[in-house]
Amino acid sequence: MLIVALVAVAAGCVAHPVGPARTYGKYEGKAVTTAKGALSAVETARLIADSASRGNAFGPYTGIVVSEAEDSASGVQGTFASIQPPDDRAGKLSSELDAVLSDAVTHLRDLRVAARRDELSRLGDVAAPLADDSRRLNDFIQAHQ
Amino acid sequence: MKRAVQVTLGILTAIGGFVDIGDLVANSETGARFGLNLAWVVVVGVIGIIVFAEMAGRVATVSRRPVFDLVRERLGPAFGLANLIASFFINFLTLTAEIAGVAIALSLVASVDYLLLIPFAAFLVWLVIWRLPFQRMEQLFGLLGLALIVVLVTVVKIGPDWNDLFRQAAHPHVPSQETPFTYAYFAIALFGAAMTPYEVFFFSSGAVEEKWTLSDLTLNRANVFVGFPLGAVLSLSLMVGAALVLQPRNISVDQLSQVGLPTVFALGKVGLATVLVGIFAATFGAALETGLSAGYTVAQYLGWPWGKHLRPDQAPRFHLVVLLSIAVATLFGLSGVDPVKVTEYSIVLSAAALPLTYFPILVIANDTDYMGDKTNGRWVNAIGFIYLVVLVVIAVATIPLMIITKGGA
Amino acid sequence: MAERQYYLGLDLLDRQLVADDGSLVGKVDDLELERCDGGDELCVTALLSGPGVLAQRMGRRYGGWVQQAQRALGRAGGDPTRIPLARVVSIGSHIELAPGSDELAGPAMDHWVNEHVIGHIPGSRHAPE
Repeated sequence: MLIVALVAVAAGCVAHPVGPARTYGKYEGKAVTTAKGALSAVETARLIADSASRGNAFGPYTGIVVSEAEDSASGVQGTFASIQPPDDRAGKLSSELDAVLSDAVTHLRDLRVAARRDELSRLGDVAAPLADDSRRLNDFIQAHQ
Repeated sequence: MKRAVQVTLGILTAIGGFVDIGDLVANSETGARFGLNLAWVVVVGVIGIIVFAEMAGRVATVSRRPVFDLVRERLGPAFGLANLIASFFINFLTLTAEIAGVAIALSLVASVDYLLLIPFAAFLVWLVIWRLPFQRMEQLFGLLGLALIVVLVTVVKIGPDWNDLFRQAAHPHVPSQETPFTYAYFAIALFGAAMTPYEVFFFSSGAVEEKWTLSDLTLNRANVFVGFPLGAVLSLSLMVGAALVLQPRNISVDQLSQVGLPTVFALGKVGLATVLVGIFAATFGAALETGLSAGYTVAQYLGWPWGKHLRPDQAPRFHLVVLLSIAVATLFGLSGVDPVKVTEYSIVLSAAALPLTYFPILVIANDTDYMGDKTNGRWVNAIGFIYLVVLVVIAVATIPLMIITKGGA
Repeated sequence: MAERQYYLGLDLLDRQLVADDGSLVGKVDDLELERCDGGDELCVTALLSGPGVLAQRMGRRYGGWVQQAQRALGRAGGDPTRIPLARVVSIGSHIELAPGSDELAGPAMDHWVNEHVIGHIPGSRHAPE
């Protein structure tokens, strides 16, 4: 019984790793977590796009990896957007990050479409804008870590 | 000659079962996040499971009964029940994750949503348990699981600076963007993945299923001393591959598909195809083992007839438990729960329950009533006891760490 | 059986029961004790094994209910969970029983599961090798 209770508590704590943020510091922390998640998705997509365009990966696998990256990025964007910025400074931070995230998600979507259409050789070109998204996310993380 | 074949096959089958979705995910995730700073955990973990699996196999070989069967009569029904409930629950989570893993592996080839493939995967798993003889089952999935050697080839192909790697692994520290708490949490997760309880139940029951006798003690040792270390090498290869390819790109692993990225990067299409076969075999093999373990644990605690060595209608309650477990795991998987998250939970909770599993093994392996003159030697007992202390420390620390790190976030 | 002292807790309780054909028929979940021949000592008169018995011994209430349900649904004559001591052939690492154990709870439940579930799945009578 005790174990069940402990597990339930632990599960409850884990369910919302990104809960409300009441101070700018906490909000900034969550922004960084979000940016890191998005960066992982963007880099995953870039890596597979690069491999696929060289003929090193199959269509189905590529398509799924890119789809998952897209879902992951839009997921963290949505989760972050649901957190209320505690003050104006946080509000500006939110806009800044959201702009980057939106671009990333758009580019990932384009990549997913191309991948699902099995246009593997062009994936390198379609993925090109993601390099910039990656840089911007990295800059954001460095600036606010 | 037949003995040689048996030994070889036994070893081969050992590999397939020792690298399941928990190991795939944990080692890749850790490599991507911590580089090689947690490599030592895999080494410590594999020594632990070698020592205890040898004991469990020896118990089954000498007494002709699996360890779990003996827990109730040797340690009492209350302890046995606690062991059963914890083991069954964690085993169930693992079963859900493995079935999902099979579905995901299939989806990566068929380009179908993995959720649609879960019922198919589950049915296949059940069908193999129902129809395929035990040895054939082990041989088939063991051999297929060898495909995972591709992850070692991946590392070799990338051609890292080996001296640098060894230095990193030998001087572990907490990376700057992590905290001691996340470090400890992932160490525990890796440990739980390396010493998962169901491996011991299955190995022990498997020895009885294959009707090992005293003359098979060497076979037992060969299985253990070659199979598990090979599994550890593969685990470490996954970690190194992730450290070399994913970590520099800030990629963190939250999907099973990402486990294949280093291999794609290094070995292209052939590598990808091979690693997908390996992932399929490893998760399918583990699904078989956890499915059967669901039946083994319940049947052995209650004294029912059990095992694939009997006709299904001679062990109907055993098969009913297996069938229901697979069915409920399927429903749970279909609920859309994140398989990687379920995997993480199952290995972390496994870590918390390790003392419950391993304490009885140590006790029973020393009991002359069951073991005759084949009880543990002094060194085995010393190592076993030290590990038990470590396991208790881990068990106590797991839930608090889970809460503090919010599940390793 | 030769004369030997047995420790009930160690040698009898929670031991595996094995039928005359070698099949597993449950574990000794509890013991039936009665006063021996009007004296002060308690004698084991039967081994108890079956659904609910263990639960009741470990102190859970529903064990009693399960047992009552079992008896209500079971055969009219004889308690499927009760094994008179006379049926015990030997006591060792497991407990061997004399023939006639299909009246026991374990095999009876197996029979029920076969009839209603497992028996309906193709291949249930397929030999393992």
